[in-house]
Amino acid sequence: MTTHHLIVQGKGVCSAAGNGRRAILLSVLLLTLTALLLTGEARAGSIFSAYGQGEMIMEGDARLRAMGGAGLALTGSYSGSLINPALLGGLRYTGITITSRPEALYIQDEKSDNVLTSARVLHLALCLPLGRGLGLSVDLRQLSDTKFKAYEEIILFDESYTKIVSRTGGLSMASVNLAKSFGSRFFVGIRAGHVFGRTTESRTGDFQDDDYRDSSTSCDRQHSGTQFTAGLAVKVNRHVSAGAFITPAYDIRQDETNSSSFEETVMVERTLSFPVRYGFGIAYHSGSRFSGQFDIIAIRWGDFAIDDQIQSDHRDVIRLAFGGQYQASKDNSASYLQRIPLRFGYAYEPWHQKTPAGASISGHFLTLGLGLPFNRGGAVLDAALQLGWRGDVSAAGAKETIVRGVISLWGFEPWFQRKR
Amino acid sequence: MFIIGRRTHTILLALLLVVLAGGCSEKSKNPVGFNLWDEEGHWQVYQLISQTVLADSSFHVDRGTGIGPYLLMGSWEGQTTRSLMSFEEDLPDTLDRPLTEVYLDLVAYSEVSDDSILISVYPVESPWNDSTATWEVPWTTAGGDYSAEPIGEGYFATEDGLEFQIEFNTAGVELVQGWLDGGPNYGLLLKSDELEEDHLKYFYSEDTPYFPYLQMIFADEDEADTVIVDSEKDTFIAEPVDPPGEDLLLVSDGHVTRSWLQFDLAAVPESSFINLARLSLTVSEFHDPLDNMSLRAYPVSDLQTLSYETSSYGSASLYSGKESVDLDITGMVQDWVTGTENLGILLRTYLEHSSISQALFLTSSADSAQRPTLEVVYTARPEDITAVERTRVAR
Repeated sequence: MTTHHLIVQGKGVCSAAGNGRRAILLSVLLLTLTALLLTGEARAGSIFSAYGQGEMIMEGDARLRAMGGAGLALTGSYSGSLINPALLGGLRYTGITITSRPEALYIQDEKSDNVLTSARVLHLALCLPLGRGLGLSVDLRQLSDTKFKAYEEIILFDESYTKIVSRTGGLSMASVNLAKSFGSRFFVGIRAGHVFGRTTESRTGDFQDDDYRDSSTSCDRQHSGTQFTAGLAVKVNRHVSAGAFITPAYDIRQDETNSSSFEETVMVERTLSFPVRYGFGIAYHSGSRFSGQFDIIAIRWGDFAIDDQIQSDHRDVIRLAFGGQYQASKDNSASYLQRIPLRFGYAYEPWHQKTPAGASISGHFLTLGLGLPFNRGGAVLDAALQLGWRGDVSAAGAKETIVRGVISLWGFEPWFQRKR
Repeated sequence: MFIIGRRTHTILLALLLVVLAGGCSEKSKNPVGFNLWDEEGHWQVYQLISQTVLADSSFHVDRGTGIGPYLLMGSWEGQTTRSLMSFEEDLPDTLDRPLTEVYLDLVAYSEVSDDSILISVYPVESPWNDSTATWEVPWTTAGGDYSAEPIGEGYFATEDGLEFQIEFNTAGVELVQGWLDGGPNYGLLLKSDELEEDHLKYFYSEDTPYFPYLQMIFADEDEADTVIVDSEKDTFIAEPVDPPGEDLLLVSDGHVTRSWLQFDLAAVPESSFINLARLSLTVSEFHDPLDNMSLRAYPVSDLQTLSYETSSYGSASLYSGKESVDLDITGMVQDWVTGTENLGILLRTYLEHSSISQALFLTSSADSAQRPTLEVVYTARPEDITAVERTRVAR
C-alpha cells in the first residue's frame, strides 16, 4: 500500500508577518472546513472497538505522533499543549491547527482477514495569546472512537442466515485551555472540557427467506459530562525539561435507549465513572540539533464504574512513549532540506478492557515523521507514519496490523499581538 | 516540489491533506471479528419442532352459504348440490296487463364437465334463510321442501355460452302471478341431481355483478311490458359428507366442516420473538371440483364454542397432487407467547360457501413423518431457555 511519509514541523512561531501568512491561515481554515465535511463518511475503526468505550484516542498532533506520542515536556512548541495544557503558556501568536488521521487496518482472526481504511479529523484548535505569558485555546477533539462491524453468514435450521453486529460513534470534547508562563522556565495550565457523544450498538439476525421475521436489537447511548485537566512544565536547565498532567476522575451521564424487534423500548439513565489519568514526561535537548522525549501515562481503568459498579473486565493501563527529533539547522538561511526536522519514536498502548476470555490486548507502534515549514516558519505541515501491531489471533481473538498516517497543519498569525 | 511557487505549493499540500482526510472510506463489510463477542450474553435463535398435539378433532358447522359468490347445481364425487333463490321485494304492485311469460336468467361461472345437464326449477314450499339454510335446515325433508313438479327446466352447457335462461311453464307463470297477488312466496329451488356421473355447474349468485333475475312479461292484445326482478337472496345447499375417522382431520366447505388442533408450546419462553411458526399437515385425501382450496388457520378464542379470532391467521392453497401443506402462523404463535392463551388452531376453508371441496389430513396418530408438525423458530435470551430445552434446541 502507499504510505505517506511526510513532513515535519518546525517551530510554532513565525518571525515575520505578511500577506503570505494570512493566505496560509485562510487556507488552513478552508481546509479545516472541507476536511470536516469529507470525513463524515462511513469508516472502519479498530476491531477491538467492540470492547469497552471503544478505541481511546491519544491526543497529540503529527509532531508528537512521529515521536511515539511523547511530548508532555515539549516546552519548545505548542504541540504538547493538546495533552499538557501548561505548554500553552507563553503563547505569542494566534494559531490554528487541525490534525487528520488516515489509517489502514489489516485485520486477521481465526477464520478470515480483511483490510479496512478510514480517515478522521482528530482535533481542531484555535490558540490566542493574551499577553503577560498567558495563552488561551479552544479546541474540539475526539476522545474515543468506535467503529466495529462484523457479520457472519451461516446456515441456521437449513436456512441462510446472517448475523450482524455493529457499533458506531464515540466521545468528543470541546474544551477551553488557559495557561501561564512564569519567566521562561515554569508553566502551568488548566483545561475544562464538555464531553459529549453518541454511540450505537446493534445486533441483527437476517434470514434470507422473507418468510422469516428478522431479529434485531439496538442500543443508543447519549453521553455528556465535564472533564478537567491540570498540567505543569519546568525547564530544569537548557538541556532538560519536565512536564506532568492529571485528569481527575469524572462522571459522564449516559442516557441509554434499548429497542428491539421483540421487546418494549427501555430507557435507562446511567453514570459512567471515568478513572483518573495522569502522566509524566521528560525532554532532553542536545544543543540545537537533537531532542528526545519520554512519557509515561497511567489510566486507572480498573476503577471504571457504571452506576458505582466497578467493571471487573477493565484493567489499569500504562502507556509508554519515547521519541526523538533531529534537525540539521534551524537557521532560516539554511537550505530547505536542512530545516526539515526528522522524527522517530515508539509507543506501547495497552487496551483498557480485557477480552471475554480474560486476555489482555496491547498495541505497539513504531513511528516516523518529518515537518515542512512554510513561508520561513509562518505555517507548518507535520506528518507522521505509524506502524503498529495490536492483539493476537489465538489469545485475543484477532490481530490488527496498522498503518496510520497523521497529518497536522499549524498556522500562526500575529493577530492580537500586544505591542511591546 | 520545493522550487515551485509558494502559493502553488500551499494549494498542492492542501489538496493532499483533503484527499488523505476524506478520500478513504470503508472498503467492505468486515467479515472478521465474530469470535470477539461473548455470544452467550446475547440473544440467540432457537428452533422447536413440536409434534406434541394436545387435542385434534373435526366438527360440522351448521351454516348457510348465502353470502357466497356461486350457486351450485349438480353433483360431484357423490355429493349432490341444489340452489335456492327468492324474488320478493322488487315485485311490481300495480299491473296494467296480465302476466303472460316468465323467464329465469342465470350466468354461469364454471363447470366440472362440459356435458349438457338438465336443470329444473321448483317452487319452494317453506320459508328459509340464506344464512342458515343447509341440506337439513330448515326443511322437513332433507334437501329442501319443494313441489314435486318443476315449473320450468332447460339444458345447459357452457359451449352454448355462459348465459342460461329457463322459461317457466304455465304452472310457473301461475306461481309468479300468485306472488304478485300476495300469495306465499318462498322462492325457487334449482336442481339437477338425477345424474349418475359428476356433473356440477357454478352460476353467479346475487352477491356478484352477474346476479340471477326474473323476466316477467305483461302483455295484452296491443302492447307488452317487461319487468325485471333481481334475486334478493340465494344460496346453495350440499349433501352432508361422511365424518372422518379418528385418524383424520376434515376441512370442507359447502357442507362446512372445521378441524381443531392444539400444540404444546410451553417450551417457548414468554419473552421470545417468533421468527417463524409453520404448521405442516400431511394430506390424506383432497377433493375439489375447481381444484383450488384456500385453507386458513385461525387462533381459537373460546374452547366451548370453538370460536376464533379473525385478526391473526395463516393461509395456504391446496390442489391435486399436493402431499402436504404449510401454513405460516407466526403472528398467532407470537400472540400466544406474549400472553394470549393458546387454545389451539382452527382450520377451515377461507370462504366455506363457494364450493364443495374436502381436504383430509393425517392426525397425531400417524407416524412421525406424517403427523401435524409445528416448527417454531424464535429469538430468546439464553437465560430464558431452560437447561433441558437448551439441550433440545442446540444445533
